[in-house]
Amino acid sequence: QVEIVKIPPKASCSGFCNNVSTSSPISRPPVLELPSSECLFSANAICWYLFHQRESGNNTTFDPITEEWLEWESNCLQPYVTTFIANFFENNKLNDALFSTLMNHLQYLDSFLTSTPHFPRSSASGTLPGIGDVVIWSTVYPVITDEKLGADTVKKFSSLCRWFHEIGLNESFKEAVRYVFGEKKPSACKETLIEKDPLLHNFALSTQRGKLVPQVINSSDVEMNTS
Amino acid sequence: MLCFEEFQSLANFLGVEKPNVFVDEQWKRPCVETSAGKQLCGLVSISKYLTDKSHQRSLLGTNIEESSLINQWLEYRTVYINQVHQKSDMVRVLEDLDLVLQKKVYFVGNRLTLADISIYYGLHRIFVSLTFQEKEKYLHLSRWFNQVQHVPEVRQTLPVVVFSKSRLYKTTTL
Repeated sequence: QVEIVKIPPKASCSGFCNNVSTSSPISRPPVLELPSSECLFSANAICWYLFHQRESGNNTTFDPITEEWLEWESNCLQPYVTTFIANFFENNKLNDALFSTLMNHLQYLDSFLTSTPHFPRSSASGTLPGIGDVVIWSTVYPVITDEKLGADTVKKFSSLCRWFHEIGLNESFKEAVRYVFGEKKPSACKETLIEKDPLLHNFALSTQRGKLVPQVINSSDVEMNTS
Repeated sequence: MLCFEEFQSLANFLGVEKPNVFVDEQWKRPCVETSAGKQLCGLVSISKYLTDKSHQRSLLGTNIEESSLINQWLEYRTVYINQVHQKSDMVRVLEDLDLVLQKKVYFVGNRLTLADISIYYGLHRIFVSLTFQEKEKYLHLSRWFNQVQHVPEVRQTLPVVVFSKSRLYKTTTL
C-alpha cells in the first residue's frame, strides 16, 4: 500500500533533505518515503522497489536485461523525450533535429518489441506488466498519445503501438493516467514538462549536437567549461 | 578516467575476471559479453553484473530498500555526475551530494556499497579540479571522498586528492 500525498508546486518534499529546492533532482517529486524514512527520488528506483516488494520478499536476483532497459530509459530515452516534448509544447511545432533523434529511440523500442511481445517479466508477474513495461510506457506516453504526433509519425512503429495499446488496457494504467492528467491531455501539463531539469536538458541538447559521448568517456578528456 | 579503466579497477576490487569492454555505437555505451554469452550494455548494468558475480554481492544491498537506494545513486551518477560539463552543473551536483552526506557516513546504510564506489569514480575528475577553498565548502562530501579514496582496493591507480587537515578559511562562502 502506498499513500499518495500531493504537494503544492515548488514546495520542497518535507522531511527530506531540508530546504532543498524542488529544482534539485534529489527532491523533485515523485519521491517515495521508505519505511526507514529514507527517500527515493528516482522514479525508476521507486518502481524497482515496489516491484521487488511485491515479488520477491528480500531476495533480489540480478536480471541483466531489465537492468539494461532501466538504464537505457534513464540515460538515453528520458532526457530526449523530456527535451523533445518541452520544445514541442512550447513552440507548438516540431524541431527537426530533436524529432529525428526521438524517432531513432522509438525505432529502437519498435525493433525490440517486434521480436518479443513485451519487456521481460519475472515469473511472479505472470501476465501483468513488468517493471520495464511500466517505466518505458510512462516515458513514451505523452509522445504516443499526442494527436499531432500520434497521427502519422508514431503509427509506423506498429510493434511499439501494439505493445503500448495492450499495456494501456490494464486497469491500473488507466487509473494512473486519470490520476496524473485528469480530464486533460498531456499537452495541458506543459508547465510541468517545461519546468525541466537544466542538467538533464543540457545533456539532451549537447548529446544531440554530438558533443558528448555519454557513457564511454567519463570524461577526463572532455574539458570542463568553467566560464 | 575512462569507463574501461573503471571496469578494470572495479573487477580488481571485486576479484572477478576483467571484462572485455566494447562500445555500442548507436548509444555510445560500454558493453560486455556476459558468462551466459549475451551482450550487456551500460555503465550501471555492467557494474552491477560484475558485483553480482563476485563474492561481494552485499555491495548491491542486503535488502530491497538498500538495493533500491543503491540503484538510485547509480542512476544519479550516470544521469547527473557524468553530465557535469560546466561550473554551474558542478556546483549543483556538489551541493546536493554535500547535503545528503550531512547526516550520513556513506550514501546507503552505514557501510561502503557500490553506490559509494561508483560515485567516487564519477567525482574523481571533478575533485582533482577543486581548490582547497572549494573542497572546504563541501565539507561533508570531502570527508566522504577522503574516506573512500583511503580504501586502496577502491582507489587503485587513481591519484590521491589532497585535503587540508585543518580549516584554512574562516568563511566558506565563495
